[in-house]
Amino acid sequence: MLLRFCMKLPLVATRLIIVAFKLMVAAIVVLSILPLLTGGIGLDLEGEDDGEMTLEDSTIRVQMPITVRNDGFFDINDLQVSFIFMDENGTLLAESEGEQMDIPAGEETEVSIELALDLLDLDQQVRSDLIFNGTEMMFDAKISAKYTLDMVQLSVEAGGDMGWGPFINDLQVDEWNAQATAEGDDRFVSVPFSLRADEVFNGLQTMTVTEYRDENGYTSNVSQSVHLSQQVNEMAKIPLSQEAYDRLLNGTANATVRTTLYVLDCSTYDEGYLNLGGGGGGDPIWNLQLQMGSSNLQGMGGSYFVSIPFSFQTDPAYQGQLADAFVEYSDSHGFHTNVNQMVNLQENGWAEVQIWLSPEAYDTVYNGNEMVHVKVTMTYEHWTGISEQDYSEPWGVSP
Amino acid sequence: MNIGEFDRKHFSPVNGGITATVHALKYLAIPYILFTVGLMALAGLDGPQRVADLLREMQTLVLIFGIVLTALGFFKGAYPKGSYSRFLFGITASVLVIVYVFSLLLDGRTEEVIAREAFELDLYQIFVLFFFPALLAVLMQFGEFADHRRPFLEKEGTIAVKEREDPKDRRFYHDFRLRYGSLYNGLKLARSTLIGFVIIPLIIVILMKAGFSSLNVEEVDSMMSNLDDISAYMVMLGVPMAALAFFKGFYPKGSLSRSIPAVIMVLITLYWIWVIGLGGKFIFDSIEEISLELDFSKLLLLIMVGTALWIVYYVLELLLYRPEWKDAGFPKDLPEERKARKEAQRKAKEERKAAKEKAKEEKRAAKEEKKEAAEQPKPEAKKEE
Repeated sequence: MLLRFCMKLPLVATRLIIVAFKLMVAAIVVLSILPLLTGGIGLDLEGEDDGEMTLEDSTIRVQMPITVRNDGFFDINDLQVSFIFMDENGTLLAESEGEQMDIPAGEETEVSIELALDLLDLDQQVRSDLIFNGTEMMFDAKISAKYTLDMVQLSVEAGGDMGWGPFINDLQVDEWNAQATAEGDDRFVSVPFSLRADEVFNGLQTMTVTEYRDENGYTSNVSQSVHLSQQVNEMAKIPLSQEAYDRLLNGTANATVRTTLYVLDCSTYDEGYLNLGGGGGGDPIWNLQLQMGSSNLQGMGGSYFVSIPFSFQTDPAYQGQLADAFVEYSDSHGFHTNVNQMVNLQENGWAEVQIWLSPEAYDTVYNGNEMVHVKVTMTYEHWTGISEQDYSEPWGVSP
Repeated sequence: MNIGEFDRKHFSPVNGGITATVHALKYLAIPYILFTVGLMALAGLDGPQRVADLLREMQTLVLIFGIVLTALGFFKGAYPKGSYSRFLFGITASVLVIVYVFSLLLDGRTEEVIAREAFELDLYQIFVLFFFPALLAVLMQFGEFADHRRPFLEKEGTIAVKEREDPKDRRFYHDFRLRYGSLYNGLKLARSTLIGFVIIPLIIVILMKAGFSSLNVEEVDSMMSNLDDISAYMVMLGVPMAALAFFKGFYPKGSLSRSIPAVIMVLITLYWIWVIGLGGKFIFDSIEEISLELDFSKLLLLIMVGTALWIVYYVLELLLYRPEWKDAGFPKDLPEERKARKEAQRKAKEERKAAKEKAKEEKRAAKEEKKEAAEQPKPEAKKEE
């Protein structure tokens, strides 16, 4: 019997080796899958505040720490997180390739994802869009790692569009609030202008040039340095000649004023029609302008509103009368509403309408970076004036 | 049919009891308990009444078919292999199993209830898959009869005992002679291979497809098409493997005719593992803008190395079993004959041992006698002095 067993011993040994192999592979598979099912391995994004975006010279840096937990039975090796940003045409804009790192079993490690985007590397048009209008950029994120004694390699790629910017928006020349001043022999027109800048651009020094031009071909301008902050209100004090000053005051200047903002070799401008003296050339109302910079969202006990202010100037002959203001509001998701309001005509008139929003429309502008279209139509007797604007709202949204 | 084979002298209630117990467990107790547990779970969870009704109907069927199959199992087991009596009860039982399973479909109502409560599942398709191994189980009864008929008749003394084959003029290709094969063993192995490599994977694919379809999500379309490809591979590789498994089981251990299909089977199994393991790469890119790539080729290769060890096993099996098979006169690989051979070997060994002991004893006795004779003084010689 023993001899027979010894004869068959190699067969028994081979069978045992095969069984051991099967058990080993089964154990490896089970021990690999188990922590994934029980949540032992995972990524934890740090608190929202920790995802920091800063501007250094012309480079935007994004830092995002991610904690990788490995409560599994095997080490995670060669973990690498990389990001690629591209413009709409697929041109590479920024690339971040994290260092490969090992996370031993039972430990957790913080992986810092760093992304640097030098704005000066971008095409000027792309840069300008990014700074002033906001743009969609395509990104590709890739996470790769080895697990199960390096026998399993996982690679996850995720791509998508990501809205960036605008970092500076709502540049507005408040020409309705312009004032002509005389200081000794010098004559000036002071035109206020305002803009908003994203927190990332806080403190960045930029240049504005405000240019005055009347219908007689007279031009004058003033340059000034502006330090960006979330709300910038500045006054451009443009020197004028006596003649130009007189024309402006007696209402024959038909002047325009344009403020151009220069940031990182890109520019944007806003202009307005100046008429300080003689009214709107016979019109009862002129200089009708939406003041979206002062608009705001309100949520009151389940009801949602957006306040939309607008300004205008009234000929003294019509001051104290009532005009009809019809304000229309629409968003890109098909929400459309309007409101009608009577407005008291004043010399430097300012009115505000409240527009009811549906919860979805409120959510769209509060949580999403959406473009809305606003139009105000003022009617007084036979006179009609229109001001409309596409507005990428910053209400509760960070770019 | 020889009615005499139904005679009581062939009847063994103990053997019948063993087979009846196996049948009772397989066709009566386990399904009945499962349905009862299902009913209890439904009652506890306040589940739908129509499922409870269905399970109750199934329980009744299990009782009816289970009792009949247990009785058939008793008679089948009680009669010896190779007898008409065993063959008749065996074949009746295996055909009845097909009817049993078909009746559990309840004329399509089982499928309807599953569709209402979970997802649409083609139970008839699964039944068709079940039908093939069930058919092989029917053929196995023929195989068993054919394999054991001669030993049965030899035992009965109806025919003369077959003479041992002379290994003198034998060549290696003679291993492929059909007379060495056991139909029962071949069909049994073909059936288990078909179940393991085709039927179960295809049922899993059917279940997965039914589950995915119920999700109604476009993203799983590509996965469904992958499953179709895998199904096609399962059939293309599994059916030849089942055919090879037949020859592997058919021929006895130690024969080339068994080793060659066995080794080819291992090679196909390696490819089968590679295919079902998607070549060690799982790519999921159905969800827009997200792709997942899992490269587990090293793990798959490890599994394949473990499986490839079977080649070593079959080579060793050929080398180690061949002398034994040759010494036994190239018999079929039948369990009874193997048992008888082992018993004969054991007896021969015991006899040899006893003879050896006896010879030893005799030798020792002779030696002692001689010694005693040498130690004793020789009185006759003294007298002569």
